[in-house]
Amino acid sequence: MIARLLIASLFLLAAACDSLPRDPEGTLDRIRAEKIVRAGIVAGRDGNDLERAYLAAVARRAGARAIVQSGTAESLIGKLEAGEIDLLIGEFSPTTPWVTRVSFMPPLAERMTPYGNILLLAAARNGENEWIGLLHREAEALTEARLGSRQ
Amino acid sequence: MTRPIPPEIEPDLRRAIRLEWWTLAWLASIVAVMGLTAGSSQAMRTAWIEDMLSMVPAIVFLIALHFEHRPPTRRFPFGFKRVNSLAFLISAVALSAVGASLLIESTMTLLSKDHATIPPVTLFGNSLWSGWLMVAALVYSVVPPFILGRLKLPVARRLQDKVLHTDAMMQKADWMTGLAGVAGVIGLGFGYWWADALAAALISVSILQDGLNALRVATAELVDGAPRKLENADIADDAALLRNALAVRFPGADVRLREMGRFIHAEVRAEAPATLPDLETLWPGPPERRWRLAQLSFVPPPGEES
Repeated sequence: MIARLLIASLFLLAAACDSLPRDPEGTLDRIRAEKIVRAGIVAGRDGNDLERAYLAAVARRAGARAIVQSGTAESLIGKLEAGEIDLLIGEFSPTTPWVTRVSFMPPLAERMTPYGNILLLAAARNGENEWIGLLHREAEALTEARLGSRQ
Repeated sequence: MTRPIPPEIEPDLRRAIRLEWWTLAWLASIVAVMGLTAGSSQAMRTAWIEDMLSMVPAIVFLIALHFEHRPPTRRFPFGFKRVNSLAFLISAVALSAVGASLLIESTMTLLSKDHATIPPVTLFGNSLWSGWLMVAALVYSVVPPFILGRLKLPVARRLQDKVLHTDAMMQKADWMTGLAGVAGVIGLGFGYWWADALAAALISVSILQDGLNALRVATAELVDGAPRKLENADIADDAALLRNALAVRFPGADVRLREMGRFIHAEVRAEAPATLPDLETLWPGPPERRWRLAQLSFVPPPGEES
């Protein structure tokens, strides 16, 4: 009996492999339903090509279009935590203290300054693991494409 | 009337020592890996401290056994059998601390509504949710403590060793926490952010119960309470049988039993008989456990004391 249950659980898990993870707050489901990604870009960076390319790639992958608002990092992080925006892009220090409040993706770009390195990062609400997976993969794909085009 | 460490339990003692060294080797490898990967994650640091604490029963078992065999000295005229009782108290505190720490950590996570992020990883060119890797690691981590705990339990019963029994409970705590972790990570995957913390909180209550139970028995032993069972604070069956047998043998005498580590010391409040009985003939239980009765003393009843 236990062996049968175990086998049944394994089959269920194997079937779930592709459909997991899901978002506790349903971010990606809402984006797909409304076909809108609500993005926040930290003021001063909103005209940059890299952000636009990343946003376009993410929106395409989610089957949606992006609506962008700009603001300070603090106000946008507050909105991200409250679920008022789905995604945030801005420049942060590699040792940013916001790392416990939101989930950062792999860096889109890095630049050197006299005060240390600064990373261009996208961030999502903590725990929205399906949405974070999509953002993560697109950030890596964009960086790979940029490195490939340079070689 | 006292006896040295009985030869009939020596094979089991050697087996227990081997099992404890295996446990320490296994736990040391986990502590080393966790120490390297813990970084600044509070949850990982808590898990690391719990792993360090779960080494305590195995360490104190080995230390206690080292001393238990020593003969009495002028400074320790009653010998070192009670080192086992002290080791038991330390193990019980460690087990309770693991349960309490897990309960506090998981409750804090639930109260702060901390949504855990588990990102994807690239493995052999494929993107994979790292939750699956965590599940694989947790399933792997469950197997050794499950086997070691199961192997220790019968040996602990035969040796009436509460330290070894508490250590088996610690291994139970380890594998149950691992399985709760699997349920938690899969729950997170299904979008239930509270699954991990809730699973840990439920398991922590069971660990804390085991720890507090052991603490009750250890305290009873240290204040000369009657011998207790391995599993709970009830009077041990063989001790109850022995007490009845001695009461029949010495009618009207006040019979008192206490536990010195794995051994029972009996005190009969009566005049000593002209011919002292052989300890082995007094044991009413199974012959293979005759070694349990290590000492019988006769104390003049009140009123006859000078």
